This record gives sequence, C-alpha cells and structure tokens, in this order.
Amino acid sequence: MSRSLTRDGLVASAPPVVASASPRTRVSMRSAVGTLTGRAIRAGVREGDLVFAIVSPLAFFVCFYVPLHHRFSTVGVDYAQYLTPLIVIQAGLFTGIVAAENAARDHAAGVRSRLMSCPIPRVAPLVARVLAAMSRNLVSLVVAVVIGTIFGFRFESVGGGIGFIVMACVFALGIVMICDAVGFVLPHPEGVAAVLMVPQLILVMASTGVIPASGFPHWIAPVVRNQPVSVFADAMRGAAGGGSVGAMAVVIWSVGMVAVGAVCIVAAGRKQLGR
Amino acid sequence: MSTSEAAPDTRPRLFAVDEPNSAERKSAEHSDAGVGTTPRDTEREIVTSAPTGEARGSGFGSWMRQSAILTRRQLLVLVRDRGTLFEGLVTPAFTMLMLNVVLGHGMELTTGHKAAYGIVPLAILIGSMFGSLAGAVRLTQERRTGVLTRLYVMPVHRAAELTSRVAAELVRILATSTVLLIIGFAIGFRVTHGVGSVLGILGIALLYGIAFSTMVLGLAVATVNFPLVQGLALLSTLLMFFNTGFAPASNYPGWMQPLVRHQPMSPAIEAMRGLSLGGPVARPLAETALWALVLFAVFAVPAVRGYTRAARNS
Repeated sequence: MSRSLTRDGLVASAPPVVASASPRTRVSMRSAVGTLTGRAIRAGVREGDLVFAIVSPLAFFVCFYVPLHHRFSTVGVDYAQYLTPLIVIQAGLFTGIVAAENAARDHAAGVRSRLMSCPIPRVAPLVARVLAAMSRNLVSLVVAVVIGTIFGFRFESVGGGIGFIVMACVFALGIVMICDAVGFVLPHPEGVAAVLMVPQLILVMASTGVIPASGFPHWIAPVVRNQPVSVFADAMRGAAGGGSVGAMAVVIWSVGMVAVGAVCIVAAGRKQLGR
Repeated sequence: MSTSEAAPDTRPRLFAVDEPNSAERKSAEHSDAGVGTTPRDTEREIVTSAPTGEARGSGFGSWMRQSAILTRRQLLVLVRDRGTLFEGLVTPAFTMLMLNVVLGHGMELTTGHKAAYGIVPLAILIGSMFGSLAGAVRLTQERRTGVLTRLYVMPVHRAAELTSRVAAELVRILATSTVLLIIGFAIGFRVTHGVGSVLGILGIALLYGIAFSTMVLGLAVATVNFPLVQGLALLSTLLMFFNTGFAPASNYPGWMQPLVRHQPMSPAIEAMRGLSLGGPVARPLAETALWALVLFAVFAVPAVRGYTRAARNS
C-alpha cells in the first residue's frame, strides 16, 4: 500500500490505484438473439434435426391415414381433411420434445452458465431457443399441409388458412416454452425424449384428432373433448373447412399454455440463478 | 518383492487393480528402499505380468463366470436407465391402453373378436423394439465415453461383454413382456390354452426381440455420425402402424396387403393371437423364425466384428 503525507503532516494510507476497467460492451438484444438463433438452427441442420422435421409429419400422416381412412370413407368423411390438423399439432409436440432435449443438453454441457457470463440480455438465449424451435415447427407445418393437400386436404378461404397457421403456431409456442423449462429441470439429457413421449402419446391418441369423440367410451369422452389437442384440432379443422372454430376454448387454452410456459421458464431460470 | 515370491491370490481377478490408496502410498514412500512394495502393488504385478491367455481367462468357465458378472452390470445399468424403462415398458403400456380405448371398438366390429388379441401382442413387440433402441443410445454413449475401450483392455474374456449384452437383452425382453402381458389381462386379453401358450407367447417375444436387438447392435457399432436411433425409431414406427395387430390387413390398400401381412411383426402377432385366441400357429411361427434367422444371418457377424472394432477404436 502506498504511503502519502497529508496536509497535517500525518502519514495516511492511500487507497490502491485500480486500473479503470473499460465499461463492459453490451451486445444488443437483436444481435444476440440473431447469433444464438443462427447457432441453434445450424446445429439442428448438422445433427439431422431438419430431416426429422420433414420426415416425421410425412410418416405419421401416412401411418394414420392408410389404415384408418377406410373406416371414415364408409361414413362419407374426408379423412385427409379430418387428420391434417392433428399432424400439424403433433409436429408442434415433437418440436417441443426436441426443444426440451436441446435445453437439457445445453444445460448439461454448461452452455447456459457460460451464456450468463456473456454481455448479452438475460432473456436472449431463451428467445433464441424458442425462435429456433419455432422455425423448425414452421418447416414441419409446411410439410404436414403439403402432404395433407396431396391426399385431399383443402383450405376453404384465405382467412381460414391464416387462422389455421396462427393457431398451430400458438399451440407450438406454448408447448415449446413448457418443454424448454422441463428440459432444463430434468437431470439427464438422454431420458428427456423418452419421458416426454408418454404425455405426447396420450394427448395425441386420446384426442378428437384421430377419431371423433363419439368413437370413445362414454366415460372418457368429456376429457377427450376438452383437452388441448382436441380443442386446437377441432378449431383448426373448422378454420380450414369454413366451419365453426370454438374461439373461446382456443383462447383460454392458448393463454393458459403460454402463461404456464412463461411461469415454468421463470421458475427454471430462478433455479439456475440459485446455483 | 518380486512376482515369484508373491503368494498366489485365489480371488477372481476380472478387472485391472485400482491405484493404491493414500495409506499404501505413504507406506511405500517411507519404506527403506524408497520405492517400497505394498500387497496391492504385488497384486498389480501378478495381474499385469500374467500371460495374456490366463489374464483374459480364455476358458469356457471363465467366459461364463465373467459373462455373469458383466450381465449383472448390464442389468443394473438397465434398471437405473430411465430412458430404457420408459421406452421399453411405460410407452408400450400406454400405447396398448390408448390403442384399446381409441381403436378397440372399431377393430372389434371389423374382426369379430376383442381388439386386445391384436393390441397386446403388438405392444409386447413394441416394448422389445423400443427397448433395443434405448440400448443403442446407451451403447453409443459407452462407446463415446470410452467404457467399451476400458473393458476391451481389461483381463476379461473377449466374448464376455458381448454375451452379457445379449443376456441382459433377453432378461429385459422377458421382464417387459411379462409385465405387458399382465396389463393385457386387465384389458381383456385371455389365453385359452393354458401355461404352454403363455410360455409360447413369451418365447415368440424373445425370438423377435433378440433378432431385432441383433440388428440394432450391428447397426449401432457400424455407424458413427449417422442419426441411427432416429432412423430406426422411424422404421419401428412404420412397422408399428402397418401390421395386422394395428388394423386388419383388409383395411390397407390391395397392393400393400402382402407387405403388411409378411413384414416381421405381423407373423409374430398372428402366432401370439393363435396361441391366445386359437387359430393357426405353425405357419406364422415358422415365418417369425425365418425372419429371425434372416436378421441373425445378416447382422450377427457384423455385430461381433463391429463391436470389437468399436471397442478398439473408441
């Protein structure tokens, strides 16, 4: 410690000279999100994620349509028109599972901790992950609509088509947010997909996306009718075919899912900060 | 203390001996010679200086003994692996229940008998397949983290590790098939021909499952960068929807019906249905056995060679 003589003649300890650190450069939200989203998308393409995003809706459409359309054609229902909304929704669910896997992998590899020490907005990595997942979902959505169109799916109006796409994206957004938080919390990245496959399976199979509610046993029909996949599938089918949409139920589920997703993400973030 | 003076150690030494602990290191440091040898050092010398054949345990007895130990290890890993538990048991169980709820009534109207007779065998086979895929994920991880190489350089019989994997798969398939069969009884699946039929159903599950596992193992050790698990999962999903357990063959387009009837899952499902409900068993069973033989013939040797190569190079 340096010593100096004061005006009173007393020797005092001078504070150590600290080199003035240059102010930390902050990266703008737009720049950070753009870079991180690009990184996530490139990683997805490199790891075959894009191929899976294209092939999975195609495969599942064929898997459901070929064995079951026979049952529907006998009662005069166009099964392609009936099934396509479910395939789009299932693509959203798969996107959520992939998002959870990516979040878990990043967390296990310490990517999140490193990003927290970077001069970027705290929310940027989350926004980037969600945007990357949504871009993947958009690819699946387009593939699902194209394969549906080949088999006979049609939009009755432009407005209906826009409504269909908006509902699909809102559903996927809610699912991605929830799954991102789940992937963050689960300790082992390897088990994430396996664990999330079960709720995905239940939501898809026990919905009016595959068969109408009247085809289910009476004891489970009310649950089937009001669960989110059924609500969105019916609304999207209505929007595409120019029928009734049931907007109230869709709005309630949309707000609920996004709100739950936001709460889950905040809780997961707090857990990270607490470590 | 040289190896010749050391008292022979009768305990089975399957693995390389660990480093001496801190107390042993201290005693070595403070010994007169300055280097010092502890009993643990002696044991290491015995193990490392033993002739390769002996250290590896080239006899049939040591192969069996070491296989048993490694099988126990594999089963412990299986039990602790959440992915395998979900993919091999929980997912097939829920698939069975959901298919029964969603498609059960329609299938009953079409076929004239309970849907469970198609859905339960289907779920058992799904359990075998998806459990094998979880095993492939685990194998890839062990390869990446160097576990295979560590086992390869240890004084363990070369075949023991591979044998243990196959044995663990057999135990897994048998256990999950039994559980799924019990759940199947809850949704109306019945066996009309006694215990022999139950054993027959489990035998078919084992035959199909181990053949599929051989294919998965052969492909898992042969590929490095290809997204194998996703590819096989997609194949398994297609097989799962295009078979006579999911829907009667008549529901499929005419050109597709022969493919649906003769793909690997369908004869196995038909044989199980025959054993439970009654009906032809010999022909579907022969077809299942033929498929299993084809898979063994194509993938068994590449699996063994690829496994050795993967262990050496990982």
